[in-house]
Amino acid sequence: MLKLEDAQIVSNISLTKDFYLITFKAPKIAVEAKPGQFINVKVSPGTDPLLRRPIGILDADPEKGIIKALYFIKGKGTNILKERVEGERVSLTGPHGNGFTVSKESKNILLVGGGFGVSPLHFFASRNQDKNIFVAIGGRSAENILLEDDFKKLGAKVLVATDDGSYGDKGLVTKRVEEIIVKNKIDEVLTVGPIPMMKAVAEIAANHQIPCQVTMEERMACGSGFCFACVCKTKQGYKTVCLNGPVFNAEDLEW
Amino acid sequence: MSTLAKPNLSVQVSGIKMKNPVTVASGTFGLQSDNYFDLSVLGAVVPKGITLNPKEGNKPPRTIETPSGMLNAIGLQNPGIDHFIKEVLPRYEKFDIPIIINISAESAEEYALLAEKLTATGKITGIEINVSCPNLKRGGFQFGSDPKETEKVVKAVRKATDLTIITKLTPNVTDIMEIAKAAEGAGSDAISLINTLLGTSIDVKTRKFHLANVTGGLSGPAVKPVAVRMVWQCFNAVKIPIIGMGGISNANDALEFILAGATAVAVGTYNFVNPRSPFEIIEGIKNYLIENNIADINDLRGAVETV
Repeated sequence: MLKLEDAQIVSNISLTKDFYLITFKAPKIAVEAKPGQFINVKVSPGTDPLLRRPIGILDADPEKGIIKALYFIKGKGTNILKERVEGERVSLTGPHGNGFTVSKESKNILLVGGGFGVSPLHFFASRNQDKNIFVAIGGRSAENILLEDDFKKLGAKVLVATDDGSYGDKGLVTKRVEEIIVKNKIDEVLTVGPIPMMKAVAEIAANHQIPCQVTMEERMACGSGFCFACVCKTKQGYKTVCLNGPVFNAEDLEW
Repeated sequence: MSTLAKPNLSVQVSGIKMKNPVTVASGTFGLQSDNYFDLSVLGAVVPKGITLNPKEGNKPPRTIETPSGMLNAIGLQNPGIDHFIKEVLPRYEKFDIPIIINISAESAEEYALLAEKLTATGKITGIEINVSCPNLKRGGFQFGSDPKETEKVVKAVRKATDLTIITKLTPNVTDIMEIAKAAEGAGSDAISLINTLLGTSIDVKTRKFHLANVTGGLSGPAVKPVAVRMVWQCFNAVKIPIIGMGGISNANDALEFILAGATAVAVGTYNFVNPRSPFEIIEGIKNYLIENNIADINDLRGAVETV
């Protein structure tokens, strides 16, 4: 069930120069939120910027009524959002989208995240602590590697790779995916990040006949499936990222 | 206060009796809106527009935000009329409010066929003819920018149905009054305006258009002054009722359209921003009437004066 909430900001802090972590008191959305879903944030009152900004949910605590989200400073909207402070109210809608679905039988899950794509994956890991979680995080350099310790705290095995070798393995994180899949008898793969990374991961998963879910991004307007702006091409035609997604089975996509 | 505590909000758009003047613009609203407010409070509902055959729509990116507005080039993605009647329409019936269906087609005959199919369901109150969608490479755009083509389409639909016909006008014309008169002359029971304004936007970083379709329709608060001007012009040009739309985000905006001559109003893009806005606008209009001692919303129609 979608909710509209005037949520109070509990905190809004920078993790690095480009990445911020915002915490909201949003009890109605917190009760409903599932890993892989997102909130749609009106960063400021008024009509410019006009539209809400979709941001993946990092964590939801239904008891405390708390929603956390990690965002990347990209343009006008996120630059306004980073200036909002504790105690202020921000209009949220959500939780939007379908979220991840893994089979009960799947025991060993590999999460592959690029940049702030680790955010929804971390939410998944925290809600699936009965499973063996393996995490591969990739980024351009050390400062783009997020949540490594948070995954470790959940008992996940974490591998990090950076393009420039400033932290972890040097090179693309996808180079190690095959090895992790084989060695750990991975049952399912979830990936969130840049398209080339997710494509590479999906291809490796397909080669090993393992289901792979990817998370799509597209410029969005309504966030609720009315307007058909944020579509991506699937084998069944254009599907909305906001309602039919953002999580898709890799094999259904035409990308 | 006893009578004014309950001012009359009901309006009549030709054959469509609305319990208040607020509806929604096609393509900006859906059944999911029921999560945010009880849809049965609306004066009428307009689901996403349909065509005869399923339409895949345009390649993405289909939208880009602009100052106080947005451009869209969806390309009328929809499952086609037969699927709509079987799967979608029944889910709107339970709200017990007038249902207006927005139709697009590539020929007068196709418009007529759509009108026939919809009339045969017995579940629909009005048909909104989209002669103005600016995103189609053929069809829609040409009809609405030419009075003779508009007339041809309206006449064909008129022959096919007894339901209330609303012709939705494009603002991308030199003289909108000429098109409004053509629609009225051909038998349209009402007109709705404005559809989106044709525009584009360029990313200077990549030096590419933001939209895969190159051009798109501008909507949102940015277009409101153009829309109010056109409603006022049409109010003075035709006798049939007007559903005003274009950038409505609150009750004051809605009242502006009514003062300019609209019988009813539709909330469009702002549904994306505040999904409860139709409900809040109904409440806001009611409060305005009470605060200003106005017993009937119909007394405000076209009541604007020069300064």
